[in-house]
Amino acid sequence: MAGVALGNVSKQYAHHRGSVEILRNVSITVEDGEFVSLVGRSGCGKTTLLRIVGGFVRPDAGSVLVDATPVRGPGSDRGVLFQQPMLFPWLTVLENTLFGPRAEGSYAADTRERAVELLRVVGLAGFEYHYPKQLSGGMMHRAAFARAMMVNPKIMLMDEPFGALDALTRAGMQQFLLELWERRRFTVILVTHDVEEAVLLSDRVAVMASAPGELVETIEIPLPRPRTYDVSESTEFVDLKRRVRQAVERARGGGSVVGADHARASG
Amino acid sequence: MNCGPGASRAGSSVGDVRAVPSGEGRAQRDPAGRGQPRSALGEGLLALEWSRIGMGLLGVASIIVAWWFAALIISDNVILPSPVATGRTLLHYLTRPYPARGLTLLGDTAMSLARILAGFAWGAIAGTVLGAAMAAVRPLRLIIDPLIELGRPLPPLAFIPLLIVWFGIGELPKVMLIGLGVIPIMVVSVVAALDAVPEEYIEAARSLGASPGYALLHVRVRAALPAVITGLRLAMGISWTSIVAVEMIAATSGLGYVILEASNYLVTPLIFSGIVLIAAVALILDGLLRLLRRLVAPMG
Repeated sequence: MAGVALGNVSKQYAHHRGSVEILRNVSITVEDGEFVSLVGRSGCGKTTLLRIVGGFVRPDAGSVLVDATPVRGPGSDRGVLFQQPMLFPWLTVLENTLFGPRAEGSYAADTRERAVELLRVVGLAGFEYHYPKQLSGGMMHRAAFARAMMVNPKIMLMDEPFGALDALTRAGMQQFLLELWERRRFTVILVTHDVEEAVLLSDRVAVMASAPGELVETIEIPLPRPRTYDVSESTEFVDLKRRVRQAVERARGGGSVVGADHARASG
Repeated sequence: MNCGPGASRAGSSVGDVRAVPSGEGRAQRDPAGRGQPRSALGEGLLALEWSRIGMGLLGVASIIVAWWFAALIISDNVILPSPVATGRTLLHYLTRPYPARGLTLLGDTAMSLARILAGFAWGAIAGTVLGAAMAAVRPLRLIIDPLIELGRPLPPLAFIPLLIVWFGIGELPKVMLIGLGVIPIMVVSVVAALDAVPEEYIEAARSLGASPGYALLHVRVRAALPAVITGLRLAMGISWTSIVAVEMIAATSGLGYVILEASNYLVTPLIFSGIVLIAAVALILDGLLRLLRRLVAPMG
C-alpha cells in the first residue's frame, strides 16, 4: 500500500564556504492512511524532507520509498500543497481542477462531472467559473485541495498549507481538512511549526532538531476520531500539546518556540 | 450554498470560514455574484472600464483645449496652427498626395505601418527566441547578457549611417533598424518574465502528473505570457522612434518623411497632421497588444 519509508536520509547544500548539513540520517515510516506531522523550528530541514518525498530534491544518501518503490521524481501519486495555494491565475477554478487529468492524459467523459462534484465537496459550488484572484485565501486553499485530489493521490504532502491564513480562517481550514481526511483516508505528511495544529490533526507527531536536521522524537496522538475542533479544549489534548512543545524545546535546547522565531525574524 | 446532503459537513465548515469578515473576497461582498458569477462581474468591470475611458478622454480633451487657446493667442499658422486648421489639413491630404509627386497621408501611414510590422515581427521573434534560450541555458545567458547590456544603451539611431552603408536606402535597412531596437527589449523582458515564474507552479504541475515538457509549455511559458506582452508593448514604442528617425534621414515615403518635407516647406499644419497620425496608429497598435494581454491574463 501507499506508505512512505525513509531510511537514513541525509542532505547537504553547497554554501559559499563549504556546505551546510540540512538532514542527517533521518528515518521514518508513515503507514498507509496515516496522518503524520513534522514539527520543529524554522530551518530544521522539515521542508527539505517533504520535498525529498515529493521528488523535487534528491537526497545525498539514504532510501526514499513510496508504496515500496524508490522515488525518482515528482508524480501524481503524491499530491503537494504549498503555503501559498499556487493556483494557476490564468485558469478558472474549474479549469485549475481539470489541469491534472489533462496533464497526465487521464481526461475521460466523466472527468468534468467529477471536478464539479469535488468542488462542491470542498464548498466551492457556484465558484467554478471564478478566477483564483476572485476568491478569498481560504477558498483558494480549498480549490488547491480539489485540484490536488482530482488525480487521486495516495499521499498528500503539505508544507504549512495554512501558515499564511488568519487565525479564524486557519481554524476553518483545519476543520475542513479533518472532515476531508475522515472521508478519504489518504496518507498525509504535514509540515508545520504550529504545535496545536499538529496535535489536532495528526496520528503521530515527529519532532525534528535543527542544524543538522534530525528526527529526535515521535509522539503518538491517541485522541479519538473523528475529531472536531472541540477536542482542543480537552485536558488530554492540552497534555499532548505540552508534551510536543517540550519535545520541540528539548530538540533545540531551551527558550520558547515563539521566542526563537522572533529572534530569527529580527536577527 | 446549494450543497447536497453528502456535503453538508464540508458546507458547514464553509459557513465558518465565510463568517470571517476579512477572509472573504469580492465574491461575497456581491451577493448577485454567487448566482451568476460571470454576468455580475462583467457589469462591474464594464462600469469600471467606462469610467477609465471617460477619464482618459478628459485628459485628451483638456490638451486639445489648451492647444486651441495657445493657437488663438499666438495666431500664427506657421508657428502653431489651431486644432481646426490641423484637422482641415489632415483631412485634405489624407487622400491627396503631398508634395505633388509623393503619397497621400493614408499611403504614407500604410508605408510606415508596413515597415514597423515587418521590423517589429522579426525583432520580436528573434528577441523572444534568444531570451527563452538564455532563460533555459545558463552558459548562454552568461555569454549573451554582457552583449545585450553593451548594446542596450546605444540608441538604434546611431546605427542608421552604418545600415545605409551596408544595405543602401531601400526597405531592408529600415526593417533591420526596427528589429535591432526591438531585440534587446524583448530579450530582457522574456528572460525576466520566465525567471519570475515561481518554481512552485512547476512543482505543482509536476505533482499533478505533468511531464517536464508539459509543465514547461503549459505552466512556465503560459505564466510568463502577460509579462512578455508587456515587453512587446515597450518594444512597439521603440519601433516608432526608430522608423520616424530613419524615414527622416533616408526615405521618400512614410510619416517621418512627410513631417520632414512639411517642415522644409513650413507647412506646420501638416507636421501636426503627421504627429497626430503617428499617435493614432501607435495608440491602435498598443490597444491591440493590451487587448491581447487581457485575453491572456483575464484578471490582470
